[in-house]
Amino acid sequence: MGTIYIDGKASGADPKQNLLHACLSLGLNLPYFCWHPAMGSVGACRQCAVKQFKDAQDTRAGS
Amino acid sequence: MLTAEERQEIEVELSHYPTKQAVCIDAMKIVQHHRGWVSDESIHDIGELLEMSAGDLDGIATFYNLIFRKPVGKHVIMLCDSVSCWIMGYERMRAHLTERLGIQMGETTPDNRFTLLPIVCLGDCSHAPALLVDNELHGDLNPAKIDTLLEGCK
Amino acid sequence: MPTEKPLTQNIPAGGEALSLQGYERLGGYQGLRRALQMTPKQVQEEVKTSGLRGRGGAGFPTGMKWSFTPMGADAPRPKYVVANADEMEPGTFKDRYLMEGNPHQLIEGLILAGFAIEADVAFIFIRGEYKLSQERLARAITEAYSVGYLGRNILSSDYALEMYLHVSAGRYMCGEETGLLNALEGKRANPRAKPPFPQVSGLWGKPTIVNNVETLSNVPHILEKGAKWFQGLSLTKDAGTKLYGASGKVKRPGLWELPMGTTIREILEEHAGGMRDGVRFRGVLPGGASTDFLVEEHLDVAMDYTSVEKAGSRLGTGTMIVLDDQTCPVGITANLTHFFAQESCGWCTPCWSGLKWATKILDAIEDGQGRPGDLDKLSYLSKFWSPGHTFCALAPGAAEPVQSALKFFRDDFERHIHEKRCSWRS
Repeated sequence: MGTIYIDGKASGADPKQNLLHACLSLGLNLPYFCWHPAMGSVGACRQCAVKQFKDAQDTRAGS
Repeated sequence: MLTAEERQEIEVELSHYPTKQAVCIDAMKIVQHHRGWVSDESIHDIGELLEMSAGDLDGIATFYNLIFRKPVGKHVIMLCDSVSCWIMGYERMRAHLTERLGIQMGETTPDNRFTLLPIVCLGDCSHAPALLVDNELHGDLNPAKIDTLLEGCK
Repeated sequence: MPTEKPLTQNIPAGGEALSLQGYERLGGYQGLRRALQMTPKQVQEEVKTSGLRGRGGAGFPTGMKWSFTPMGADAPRPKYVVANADEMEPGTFKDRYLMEGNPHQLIEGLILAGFAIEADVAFIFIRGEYKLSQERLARAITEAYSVGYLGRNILSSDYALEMYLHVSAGRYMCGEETGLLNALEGKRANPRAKPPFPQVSGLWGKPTIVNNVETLSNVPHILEKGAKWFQGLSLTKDAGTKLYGASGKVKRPGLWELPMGTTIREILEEHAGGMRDGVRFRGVLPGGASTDFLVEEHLDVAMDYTSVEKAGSRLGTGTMIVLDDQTCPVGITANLTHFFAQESCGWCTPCWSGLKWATKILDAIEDGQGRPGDLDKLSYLSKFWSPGHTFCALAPGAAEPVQSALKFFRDDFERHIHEKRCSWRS
């Protein structure tokens, strides 16, 4: 079990779980359309796309 | 900040179209041609020039696979994985490339020399399997030919 | 019988492009000279009478498409004509050959199409990966301007046309007519509803004609030598010649310009040399990835629009992908479906969701993880890849290889599921 910080607030989350799924499970109202637990991330609607930074020092606009 | 040269090239494209939005893809390709990829800063600068939001531009940039929104290596290899190349030995070429370069599809070598990407049909099906290195087409591939190509990229 | 090969006979053998002078010496721009003595409507009629049909895959009669454009003083302006040089249908490699070898042929064809619909601006929409074609077309456009084939008062006539090369940034959907229009407008290449059709409301709401490279390359010859001559080139009802191709494990993969209506057997056996030693023929996709498999019993089908449709497939691009007996039918279907799933623009649920689901099923079957009921599920999913359920023809195109593979190679699919392995791989 790991810890995820959302807007400064810490919650428990499984590191292996899909990020969108984890946030939705915590009751957060994130936008999404084409994701389904059975299908995984299709990437068609792009609403839940995020940028992943290496760490707090990463300024290369993430990836 | 866009350079004067980049602005000039974008202006030329602008003269071909009735709207500013129409050149946004050309603009991103122009910036990419000069810098290798399109950064958040470039998205912002292009947006200012063409009066488009960064969100709109990013939505367009992320649709098109030839626009790189993260840095790429000095040489970009695009290996065709469509049906004719697949029949004629794509999997063997992929295995050879990933082994030789020590990276997986979508990754860049630690020395920043190569980025390896998949690409769809390159229109060279009678010479499959085929790939692009820095947009140059190479067909009739085999492991030896691939090695020669890699060595030629300094 | 000795055939005229108007599209390719003037392409230099060594890989260089035919020069402007070379093209003119061999009759180039004579079609344009003749057309400028006619009215646009007369040019439309000539092309209509010739029987030329779209060579991009859909096969719509070209002259008829042009005739839907509003004409005359009251027509909306500016009007546009576009060459669809976004060739990306897997297994297709004909337009690249034409553009690299004879760029002026395409340019003249595009000018003629422009004249026929009173267009003001022409675009060549070319895919980003075709670097050599881009360079040669850019040079040819400049040459055409310098000798008065483009710009104001073309060849001292009243007709004016500006022509620009637009280089794309990838994606298969840019080859779809309305997706192309959106890409040209600087947007994501989602499709548009039809009607309105592009002829009436296309680029920026103005009348626009979009034609394939091979289609347009025929037009100068039709104007130079006439509709009747064009009809005389073919073996069957559909007129002209066709660039046919073969890829896969044949002895001589290649591209050949032959009379329209040449049989699959003749292309495969005489020109492609038959199958390589050690493999046997199992099937063929006659016109690129989005066409139905045909098998041994169809080898004598004439490769024209009507005959291939009657046999249960489509002529499509006319470049064939050959399936041999050493290549797994499940694997090839998985590869094709993966392509379509990846290239889905994401607009319509049956397409982005259904194709992704289908690739998961096919990959599982290929990996020996298939389950009973998977094939019925695939059939069921593919029913929604059809007009009325999806906005464009990408998903219906994806349905063709899947449905025909299930029809002709069902035993192989079932064996994968039953034996929990791919016998071609182990």
